[in-house]
Amino acid sequence: MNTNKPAVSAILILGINSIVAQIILIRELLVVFYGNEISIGIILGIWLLMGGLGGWVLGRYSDKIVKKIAVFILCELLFSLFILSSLSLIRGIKPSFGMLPGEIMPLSLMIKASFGILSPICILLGFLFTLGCHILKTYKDEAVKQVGYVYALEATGAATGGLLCNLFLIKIFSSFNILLLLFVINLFVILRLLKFSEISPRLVSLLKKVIPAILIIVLFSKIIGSLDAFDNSTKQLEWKNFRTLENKNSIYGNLNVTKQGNLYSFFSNGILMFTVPDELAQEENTHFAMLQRPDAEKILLIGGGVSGALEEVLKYPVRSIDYVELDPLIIKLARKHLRLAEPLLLDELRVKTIYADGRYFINKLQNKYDVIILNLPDPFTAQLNRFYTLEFFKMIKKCLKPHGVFSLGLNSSENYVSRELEMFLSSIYLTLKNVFTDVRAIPGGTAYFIASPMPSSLTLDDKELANRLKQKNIQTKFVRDYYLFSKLSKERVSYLAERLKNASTVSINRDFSPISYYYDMVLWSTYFKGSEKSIFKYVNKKIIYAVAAIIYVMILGLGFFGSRPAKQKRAVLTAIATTGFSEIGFEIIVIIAFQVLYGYLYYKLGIIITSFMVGLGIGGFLITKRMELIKNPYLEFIKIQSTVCLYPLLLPVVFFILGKATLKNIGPNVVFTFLPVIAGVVGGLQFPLANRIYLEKKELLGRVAGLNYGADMIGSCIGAFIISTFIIPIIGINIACLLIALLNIASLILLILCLHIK
Amino acid sequence: MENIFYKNLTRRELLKQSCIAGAAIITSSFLYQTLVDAKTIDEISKKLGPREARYYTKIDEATVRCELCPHKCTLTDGARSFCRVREPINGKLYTLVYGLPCAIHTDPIEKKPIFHMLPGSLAYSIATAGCNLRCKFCQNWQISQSKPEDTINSRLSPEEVVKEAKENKCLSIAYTYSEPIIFYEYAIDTAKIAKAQGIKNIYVTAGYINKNPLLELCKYIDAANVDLKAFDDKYLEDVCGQRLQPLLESIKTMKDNGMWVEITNLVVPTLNDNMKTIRNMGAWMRDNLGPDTPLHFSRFWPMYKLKNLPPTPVNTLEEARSVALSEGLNYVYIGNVPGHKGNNTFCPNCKKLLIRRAGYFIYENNISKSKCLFCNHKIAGVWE
Repeated sequence: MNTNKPAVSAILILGINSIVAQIILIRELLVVFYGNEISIGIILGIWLLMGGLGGWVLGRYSDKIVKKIAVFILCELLFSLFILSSLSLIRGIKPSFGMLPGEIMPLSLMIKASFGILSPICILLGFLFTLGCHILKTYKDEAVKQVGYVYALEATGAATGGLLCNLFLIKIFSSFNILLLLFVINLFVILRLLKFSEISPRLVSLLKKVIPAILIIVLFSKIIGSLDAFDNSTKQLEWKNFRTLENKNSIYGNLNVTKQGNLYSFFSNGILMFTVPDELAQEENTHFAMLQRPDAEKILLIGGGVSGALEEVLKYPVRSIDYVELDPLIIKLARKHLRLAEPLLLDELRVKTIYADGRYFINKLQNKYDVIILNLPDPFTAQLNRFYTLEFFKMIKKCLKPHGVFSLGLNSSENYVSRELEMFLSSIYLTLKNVFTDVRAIPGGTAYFIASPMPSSLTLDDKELANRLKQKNIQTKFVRDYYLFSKLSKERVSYLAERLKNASTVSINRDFSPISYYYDMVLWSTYFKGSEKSIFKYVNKKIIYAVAAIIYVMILGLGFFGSRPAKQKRAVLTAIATTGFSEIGFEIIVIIAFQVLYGYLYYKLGIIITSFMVGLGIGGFLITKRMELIKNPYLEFIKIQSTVCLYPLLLPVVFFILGKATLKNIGPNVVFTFLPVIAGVVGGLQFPLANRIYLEKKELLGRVAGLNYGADMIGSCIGAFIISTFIIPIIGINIACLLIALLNIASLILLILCLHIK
Repeated sequence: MENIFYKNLTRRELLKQSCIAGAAIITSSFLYQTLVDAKTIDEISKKLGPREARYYTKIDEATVRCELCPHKCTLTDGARSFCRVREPINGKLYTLVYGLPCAIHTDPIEKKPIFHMLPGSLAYSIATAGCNLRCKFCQNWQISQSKPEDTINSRLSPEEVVKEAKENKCLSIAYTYSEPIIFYEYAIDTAKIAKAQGIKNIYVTAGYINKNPLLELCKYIDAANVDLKAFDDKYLEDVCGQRLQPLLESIKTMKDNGMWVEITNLVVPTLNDNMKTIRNMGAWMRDNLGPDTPLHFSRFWPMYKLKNLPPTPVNTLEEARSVALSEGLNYVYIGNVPGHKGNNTFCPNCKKLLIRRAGYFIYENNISKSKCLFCNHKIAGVWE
């Protein structure tokens, strides 16, 4: 019986399944979660952990299963059903746990929900992987090769799926439709596999009738629109009594527009961005800066223009406003729903709208501005943190005229600044201070920082500012005499200034040591009184170094007990886990570095992620092809391990050179395409070799594939959780690379310790 | 044979590895925690200036029941009360925040909001950590939802508070921001001194307090702004951790004992903006507190755990205001919308503008000797 072709395509599609499901479910989960690095870490960590457990625990039993194809079919069917229902489950998390609309989710619920919803999906994916090894076995006799091929095939499928999803599917289809497509594809795979399966012919013929029937029903309900209606009703679950005008995905994420009374609210990935009209916020946002230079001519607005900021700035006799917005969908939806003067304003002669990443734009800029207003959300992710670093502020300074003014707003607290808030605010204040000579802080629910390169050129005197408003004859509802009087009361201004001065232990926020997003996470953790707070309480540089040291010693210790074959296997498994940890670290680091150096370019990021997978696939195929030629796999494994040690040391050097050099296309296009490929190849080479080492010790195929898969996944799981949450912000990317190198060196030493020289 | 041997070893080795890892992490974190948390109750007390609480009953040697608020926490030595600021030590209940305010500001009295007392004057405003409610929209959650050992506190005795208030030209002292009920002893001692020196005392509270402590409070406090967060028991329980009935009792007690009372209702979109409930609240106020009791409909702003809930539409507040006015209340305001017409006071008799406010600023005041300048109608409040 030749199951070759259907099996190959089934495994390829398994790869597509896992990556597409991962991309879509992470996006959807982030809409109901908070979207900071820790919530991304939790989702990705749980994903990898459960996938690993599925591969490892269930893989052990796969050797005993007789009807392997039948079980594969069953699991694929279950997977398709779970994936289809996952969206409504995700959107139902908040209401079913009694949360109010707009309430932020505690960490404990994030963990519970991710486990509950992702576990079945990921366990099945892991199990399908080990089953896939068996299915291919029926035509390839060498167990060693099988696992290698399956690994490489799955990676190829994942690369294809990733590219397809990022560049194409997300742009055209809703999440639900993408998952529906996945469901249909899986049913076809099952149909193709049916004739090779070990189940009774009667059942086969029954399924051959049932599955096409399901496909027809799906097609029919798709045509009459009941599936989309169902999808829309699940989107509405959290916002029971709000009118949802629109809920759309752009490549950058989910945008949701609700209407309540006369208020339009815009949510990006579940987080309230702005409400229109909200004159108070927009007046504060613009006039505090504009009043410093009421004669300003050239203005740059980074983000938030459609929320009303443009309208406010245009009250001044400015000559031009450049307005930079990342996501065109925001402006599209604003034009459609805000029947205010705003959409017109976007077309006004003085306003130029630029669709770009603000940082990318600034970096290329030759213009000089009088006032630059940063109107972006707080740095609660690594991505947003790029707009609050020393390096970014220096770029801003370059684009300012000598008397220019730069302003930004951060979530604060009016009456009391807690220690955590103090750290967060002062890390950014301190960073500003390092670049600008004059920096002032305006207290309130949102704290505004106004900065200028010109010494003592700023004022917070309420009478003076009110006077300037009068002179320019500018009409405002809020930012005027009565309001400035209490807003800028000496007592309140000096309270905040005092608190910002107090925090001396705070670090400066830098591109490659992005500490402010960590402080923001700490601040977020104080919203809850549970485990959230304690997670962050004890983590600091020293603890990270101490834990790393303990782990190094533990890894080395593994080489000192047990028999030699056992030690060798243990060493290989450890190396697989540390490689898994490192690979995810490389991925995170390369993505952060790319965004720092070249901006948030969505497609390029998709290509980076795909490059990793391609690398994994190439590595897997290469080593599987060469497998016969390798005499001593253990020695070969050691060689590859040494490249895993070198790779992280290479990264800081490459980033440094790219940061200094003006390699226009080579940097973003060539270097950042190949960096991840190399990382992938290294990981891809190791995995099949590890399996061969095990299989030579007469282990069973499913067990071995599962064990290595499990070790890889658990390593990556830990990496996903701690690297972007703690390690990168606290110790910085360069030292993080060093620690990862040391981790792999520890594994390398362990491997060498267990080497038997005849 | 060999096979089984390896199998066991691999399994064992993985188990062992994870056990070692787990053990190491647990021990190190435990060690670290003991180093950091080596604070005994004695140390906390030294730091926090404890005073024996006024209202509690002893249950046995080590157990007490706090009688301050309707939660009536039963606590054994070392346990912390629900409000996070009370703890029994050797069978006696202590308040841990006496003389330890964490927020001190001089605010316009309008900010409390108190509109019918000394308009345009300053209120010396203090708060300590802690609260006996758990409102998901709390504006001051950074203090109200914290333990006093986690906040940055000043040391300020009641005498010093009064002195500072006078030096800052404040005509009143406001116990505000968090929940003054939980720093009861500190507030009442300060209020006694202030009253003796002719300074008014203002309580900005959610009113969740038992009758006896409240009766004592009424002797010294001149005015209160009470949050009636909703006229809906279920909402109060789900969103705030409070019950309606004891709150209504407290408001009546305050009124009956001569306190000047103003009511604030925070209107949260889709959660408590039902006009029928608002109408019932207006009617209850009219019948139980009298039509002259000011009511402030305050605009919800995305805060704390409800950070992603959009603000209240202004027209909802306007609707609520007209509903309450139609129930016969004389003074209904719109808060948190500076510059809105609903910030102003109008004469209930001649309907003319009496006090024109914008934010916390007074532009115009047409009340003289507690009377309307235009028609001589008596305007309820404390005007001089």
